[in-house]
Amino acid sequence: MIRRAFHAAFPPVAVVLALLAAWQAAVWAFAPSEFLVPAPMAVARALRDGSSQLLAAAWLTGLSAAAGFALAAGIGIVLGSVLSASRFLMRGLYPIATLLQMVPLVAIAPLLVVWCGYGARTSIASAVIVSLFPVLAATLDGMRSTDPGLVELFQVNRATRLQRWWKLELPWAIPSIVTGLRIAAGLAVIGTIVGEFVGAFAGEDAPVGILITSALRENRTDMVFAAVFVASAVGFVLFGVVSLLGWVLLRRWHASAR
Amino acid sequence: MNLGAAEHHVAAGRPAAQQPGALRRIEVAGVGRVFEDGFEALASASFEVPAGSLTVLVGPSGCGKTTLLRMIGGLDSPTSGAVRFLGDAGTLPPPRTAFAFQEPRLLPWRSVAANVALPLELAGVPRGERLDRAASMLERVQLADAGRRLPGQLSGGMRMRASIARALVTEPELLLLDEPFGALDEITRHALDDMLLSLHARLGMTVVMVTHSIVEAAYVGSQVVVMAPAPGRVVATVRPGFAQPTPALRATPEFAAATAGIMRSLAQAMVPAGGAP
Repeated sequence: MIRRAFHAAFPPVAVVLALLAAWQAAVWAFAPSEFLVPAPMAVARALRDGSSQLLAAAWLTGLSAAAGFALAAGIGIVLGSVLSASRFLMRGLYPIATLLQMVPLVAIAPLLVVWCGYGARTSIASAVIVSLFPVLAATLDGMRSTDPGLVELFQVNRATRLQRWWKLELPWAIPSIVTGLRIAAGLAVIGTIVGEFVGAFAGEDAPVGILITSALRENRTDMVFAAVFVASAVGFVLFGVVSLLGWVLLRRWHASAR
Repeated sequence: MNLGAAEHHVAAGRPAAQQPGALRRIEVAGVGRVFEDGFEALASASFEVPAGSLTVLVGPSGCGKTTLLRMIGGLDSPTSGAVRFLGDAGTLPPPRTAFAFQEPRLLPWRSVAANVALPLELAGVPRGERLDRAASMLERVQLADAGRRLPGQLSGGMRMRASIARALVTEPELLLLDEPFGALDEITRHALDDMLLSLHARLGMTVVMVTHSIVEAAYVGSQVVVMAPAPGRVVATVRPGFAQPTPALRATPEFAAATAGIMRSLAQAMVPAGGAP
């Protein structure tokens, strides 16, 4: 067990350590200004010195990202189910959803501030907007690929439309939905931080997005790197939770979880 | 060979329905099916299925046997002719019908028992009762110990038995089987044919089964409807008439004669089609 965990963890850890060493060596060798590229040691120091601030920021950003992700997951699964059940709605709404997906988030983020005001609501709205589409598309694809033989089985047994959705199409689509949720988890953190850039309060309790902008203003590149590291960690945790959920749901019957 | 003869062919020991409203026979009267693209899947089929019989539709691919089975089960409608369910006092509404398909069609995330209970669950039968009924049906198909396992953990033959149990759990009056054992190896198929015969003898429902195996048709069929393609049609109705088939029967001359009879009808029907592209 420990041996296996070691075998799984060794390659990525080794690669990361080698990259850090190369980075540190390059900073020593070429000695760029601290402002351009901070050394890994400097970033580690920023992480340590700003740990309480960074942890508070990670908590705030994590909450917004999780809320946005949960909303996107709920809306995406329901909307995907509705679209998969109606050819008319799918033809009518799916192209519009695809088009909305193309709208650059950064361009509409200031608008979100106008609509939702300063604070977490803007970050959450921004997270929902970017993470909704992968869930919607994955749900729709998963449900539309339901085995026609099983659909016929349900029809032969006079299942209601709701029974067919709950007992057949939804479980059938879960592997696909989990994939969509994994993608959405990372995007939700990105969306949250973009929302924070334009619409979060600065101050003692500032989220990661604000930490990044204020560190940039103070030419604290090491702090920017530290904040980016924290943001990635938040995304990684959200991704991990989703993957764990997928594993719990699928481990007994689906090849993707074995 | 007697084409379309009306006759009750209920083997001894089978509980024949006695109530006045009971199904006596299914009449397939000049049933034809032309698909929307103009393809004639079935020209005209006429025969009768006596209640309680095990009628087998046998023929090569493209003879319309699956189309015909679907029309008997109400999954498709004839473009000509009609399928009628007849009792003593005339036409009856379609009986309680169950299907089993060539693939087991089990939900991979459900235990075998929950799969078997699915038709009852969809009909709103309470959980305790449906699991009891599923368990007793699993026992009938010799899967009593497999109820908690997932379909992915079973062999092909076991999955097919679970599928048959699911079809039977609603206690259907009419069981429609579409090449149920076609994907299995020959030895497993023989074992399942014997299981089907004993279930039929015990439960007494009317069975219509589609197969492309002449040996299987001759073995299980109380009546065999031989079909040919291009266009799909019935060429003969044969009664092999083995009262209590046992595995040893397959090695007897009588059995060889029965399969030869079916083959002869098929060969005669197929000659003109042989020259077609």
